[in-house]
Amino acid sequence: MRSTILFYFLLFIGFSCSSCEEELKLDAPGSLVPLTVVDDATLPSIVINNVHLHAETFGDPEDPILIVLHGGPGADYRSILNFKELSHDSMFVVFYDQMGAGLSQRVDPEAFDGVQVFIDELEAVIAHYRQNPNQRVVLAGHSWGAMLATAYVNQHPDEINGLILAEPGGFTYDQTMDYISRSRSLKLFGEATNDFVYQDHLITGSDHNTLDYKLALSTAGNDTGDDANLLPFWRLGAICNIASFEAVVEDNSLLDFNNNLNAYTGKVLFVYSELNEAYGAEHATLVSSAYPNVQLELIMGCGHEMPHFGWTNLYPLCKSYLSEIL
Amino acid sequence: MKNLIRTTIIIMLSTVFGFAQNINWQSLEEDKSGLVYLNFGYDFGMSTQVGIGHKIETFLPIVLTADYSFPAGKNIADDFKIRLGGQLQLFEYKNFVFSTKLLGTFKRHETDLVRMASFGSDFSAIAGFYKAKWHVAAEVGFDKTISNNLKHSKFLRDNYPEIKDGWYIPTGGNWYYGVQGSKTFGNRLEGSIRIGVTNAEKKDENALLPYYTQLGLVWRY
Repeated sequence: MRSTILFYFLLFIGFSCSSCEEELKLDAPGSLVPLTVVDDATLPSIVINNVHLHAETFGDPEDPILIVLHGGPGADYRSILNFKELSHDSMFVVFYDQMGAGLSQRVDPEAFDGVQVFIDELEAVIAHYRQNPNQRVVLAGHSWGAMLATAYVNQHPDEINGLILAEPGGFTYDQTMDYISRSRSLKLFGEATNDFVYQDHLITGSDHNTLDYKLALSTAGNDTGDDANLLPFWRLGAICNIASFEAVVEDNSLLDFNNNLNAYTGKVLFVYSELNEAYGAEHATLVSSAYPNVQLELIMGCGHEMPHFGWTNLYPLCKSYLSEIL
Repeated sequence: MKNLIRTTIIIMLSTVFGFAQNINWQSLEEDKSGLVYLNFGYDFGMSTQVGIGHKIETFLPIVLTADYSFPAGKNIADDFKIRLGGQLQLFEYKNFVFSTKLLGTFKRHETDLVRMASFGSDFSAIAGFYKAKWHVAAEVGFDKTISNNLKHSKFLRDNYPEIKDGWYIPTGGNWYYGVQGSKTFGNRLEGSIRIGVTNAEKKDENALLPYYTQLGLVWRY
């Protein structure tokens, strides 16, 4: 009976304290995740295929274009902003958050058909910034962004003049699932796994604000060689992530970018990290072998998040590669 | 503010009855009104639960209980759930028993990014066939997080300075549907099992693993 009285007391104190403060709502815009370009007009944006995208550029618009593609699907470009340094090396560097991701406009799940919608979006982004047909275009992709770059090249091998790929999960469904299973190993009694699932006990939701917040809290589950809790980001896109993933799980053939890569004969800079044990030289060699002309490089001292934690070592390689191909 | 007052009253009332372990009403004897229990299973994480209970005599049979559960992991004190309340037998016909659980809950969850502390309620109805040495029953319940205090880490606040700490009301709920059973060994020890599925309220996204399982031991004294 004492425990019951104590519980009443704690409950009363808890609610008394809470009643002194403002009542907050999970789904209130701006409470837990930043506003998107739709609600915050101060953010830089472009309109691509009728969707408002968060986008920024650095450098001279007449220089060769370097379009930098973030991971996910559903992440944002905040952690790969180091690539803007290449604007000092005569590159016009373009960043954008893909539809439904980062600070870009949220869209319904039905819009995510797997990969094609992102390929079409990238094609439109290139057209948006390309000033003439002779302006050269290079794609730099990290993780999912590197997969997207490859998916684009697979369909448009003559449209691109260079490729920098940082640890794409794979260019086929099997390769990708193989990598994901290693990078997100399920440890039934581990802290990260149980943290990942326990939040469902305290928070549920169906709106973008709540789901994006929950996805942000889940990032600690990665096991890819870096401290994911130190990786900066603006806002993750949960619906974008879930719907895209479900689409390729339902139809594995959507994730097969490996049937026309031989048509791209230009040199590809393919990098992988020392500390991401889930990736490694074997997987890097397997995945990169889809391209006929590859410069395969190991980035020392970092894990999967090379553009952020390994930029000191990645930058000279990118600079050297770009000066060679352009 | 009215919501807070209303929910406080609801929880206060619910904890008059509180939470209970799987109860085999037919095996509760007059001279053994106390019970302790240990459960293990999946309940939004691989969880261990310990608890105590006490049967009281009123116009209807009530078993008051209190328990503490925590998911597995390196830090076993950062996440936990406390439940206090009881199970009330409402109806009995031959070996068929209908009962209800009314619970008050306190949940805590902490990661490198956020600390959550929440108050809520857990209501369920159980109907089944009860014999002296065993029982099987079906259950349906709703676990609601009514008020949840979020406090974010320095990293998350640096990442998004406008993020708001404070009381979020409400922050979600999960229905659960399942079956339970027990078998008595001797006159003091009982083994129990629960298994079922969870379903997030309204049109909310379901839990990543929308299931629960529980294996338990009960010692009566």
